Amino acid sequence: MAATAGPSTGSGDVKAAAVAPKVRLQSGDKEIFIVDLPVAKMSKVIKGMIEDLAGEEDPNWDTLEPIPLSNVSGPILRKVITWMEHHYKNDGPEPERPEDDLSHFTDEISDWDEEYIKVDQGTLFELILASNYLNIKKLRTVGCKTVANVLRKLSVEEIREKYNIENDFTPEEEEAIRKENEWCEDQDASK
Amino acid sequence: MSDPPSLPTVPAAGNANVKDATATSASGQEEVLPTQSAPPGPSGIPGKRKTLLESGNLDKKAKKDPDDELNSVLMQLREKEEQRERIRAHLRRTYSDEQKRLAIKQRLERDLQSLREEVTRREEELAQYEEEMSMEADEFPGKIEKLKADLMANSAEAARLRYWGDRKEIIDFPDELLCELLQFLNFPNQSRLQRTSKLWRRVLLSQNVTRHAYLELTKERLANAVPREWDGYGFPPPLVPCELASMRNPSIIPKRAFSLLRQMTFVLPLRGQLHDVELIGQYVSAFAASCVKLEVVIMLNLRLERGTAFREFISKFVRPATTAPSNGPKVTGRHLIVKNLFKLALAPEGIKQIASPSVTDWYVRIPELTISSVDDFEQAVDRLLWPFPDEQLEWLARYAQRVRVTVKPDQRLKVDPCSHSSPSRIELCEHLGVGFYKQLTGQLRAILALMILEKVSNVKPPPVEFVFDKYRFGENSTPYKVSASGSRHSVRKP
Repeated sequence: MAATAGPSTGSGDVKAAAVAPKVRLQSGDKEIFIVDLPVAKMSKVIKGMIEDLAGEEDPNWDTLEPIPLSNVSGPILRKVITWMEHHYKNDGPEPERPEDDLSHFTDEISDWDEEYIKVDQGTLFELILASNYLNIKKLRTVGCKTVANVLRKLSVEEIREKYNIENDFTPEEEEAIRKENEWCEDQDASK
Repeated sequence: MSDPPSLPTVPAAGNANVKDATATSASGQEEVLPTQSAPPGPSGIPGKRKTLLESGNLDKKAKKDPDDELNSVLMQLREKEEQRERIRAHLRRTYSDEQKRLAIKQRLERDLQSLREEVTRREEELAQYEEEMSMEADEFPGKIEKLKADLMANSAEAARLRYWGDRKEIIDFPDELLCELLQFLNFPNQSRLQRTSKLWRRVLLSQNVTRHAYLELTKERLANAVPREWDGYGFPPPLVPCELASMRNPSIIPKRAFSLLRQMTFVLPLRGQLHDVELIGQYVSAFAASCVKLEVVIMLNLRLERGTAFREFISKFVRPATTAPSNGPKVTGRHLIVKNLFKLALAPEGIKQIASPSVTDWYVRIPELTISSVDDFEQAVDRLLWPFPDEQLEWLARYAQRVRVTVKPDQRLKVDPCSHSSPSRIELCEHLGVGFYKQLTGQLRAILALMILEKVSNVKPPPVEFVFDKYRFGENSTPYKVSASGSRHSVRKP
């Protein structure tokens, strides 16, 4: 038995080594995407799932059930995969940064990311939520920075209108907070 | 229509009157219908009169009072004549009413007829419609089945449409994500947006946001922060953080926002001239004075030419943790983290002599340096430039010969030249040991190290903790890497 099993597993290994393993991801609307394993691992959530699967035995990725990502729609997952593929190819795997590393606060958005994130408001929010769900910190940062750059150019009233935020302060409360922060009220739009 | 018109009772009464009249006259049949023999009206009267005169009874009466008799007869005649007229008029009216009745009846019959036809037509239409509907109803089960099949076939598309129908808003963000988003706003904007909504205020004043904020130290902000009345000597007057120009009333410094801050990052512009470290020092010190809980200040992208000004700044800001002698509260220590620090490594005149003429200024980039005291900074810079550790010198001795650089000795280069070489020219070669490099000035060692890294890309990186990137100022005075492949840096933490 060992003799018959040996060659077959051997050839399988050779084949697996020649072709990078691929993993199938299933979006919330049941769309299937086939992605290179290292690219998919840029999402810490997917990485965790893959490690759970791989921990039991060396899985055959082709026959394995697709990884369900129920909170992400097909079009958004496609965009996320595009981002991961580009950054894996150009930057390699995301380096582990210490918890207190805050350089991403001030790092500028790259030209490619700036072009990538030029989408309508709803899609931008879905990308941020998807990157949060999939735990892709760099993409989440790019999205949040883009929204923050918009926020700093708008007045409080414009923000409420643009993002459907209800003003739940009484006029007296709002006036008190406005007075408290009077020193920075003219920070918007031009700053 | 064909029925003869029934005579009303009034004409019957008329006939009776006529009979009465005849009875009253007590004459024969010829008197009853005088109109037939004599024309009606006044022309008939003489005829009548003649008839009456011929009667014997009347003769007797006439003898009594002929004129009265005549008059009464005439009266009677007139009355009868009038009666006849009335009867005629009544008959005429009756006839015309009858005509009208007939016309109405005819019209009603016509209407009835058309209504009956309409009803018949409608009944036919209804029957036809019922027939059609029943046929359609027979087809319904088939149609329902077909629609069900279509729905099943398009369920994936329907699900996709349903998914996209529900677009996300900023209110769908969980609190921690909103917190992360608002962290990307600088400190003044975070304070400004507190009045957006209760949730935003809560998040903006939460520990996650207030523990670390940032502020760009632009040229304008720094310029506005300098009080004009200060002559530059002695202690600077207290400064109002952020922008003086934007402060309408300096007494309303937002104590709440400032008092919560624990870490503050000051971001300096990469472009532009060298930073005015003194001004930055004043600003940061004044800012820190308003924040009682501030423990860490991070300076990002600082470019230093001289170390002395920076040392002064550090000495003002950095405060070691101390305990008050009389069991008082422990004073929190403060330390400074300098990230992405550019330190001018060599004086330009030194470079011009040895290095490539296209390179004007050489910068050492220190990725991160934590300073808790003035000594920390000095030690770090010294380790970088002077004195090099022995391993670094060994590394230099090993690779310097590959650079093929000729060093012209000047007042900086205090080397005892090898006996076989000219005192005005030293060529780096194999037999120059570690001792030679020990005698080189720190700046020259740095230049050599940079040149090795630039020209010999496959050398092993130097073992020293700080290894520099090679930067130079371009046309817009922005330090940028001269060669990405040849320059390396690393920080090896102990």
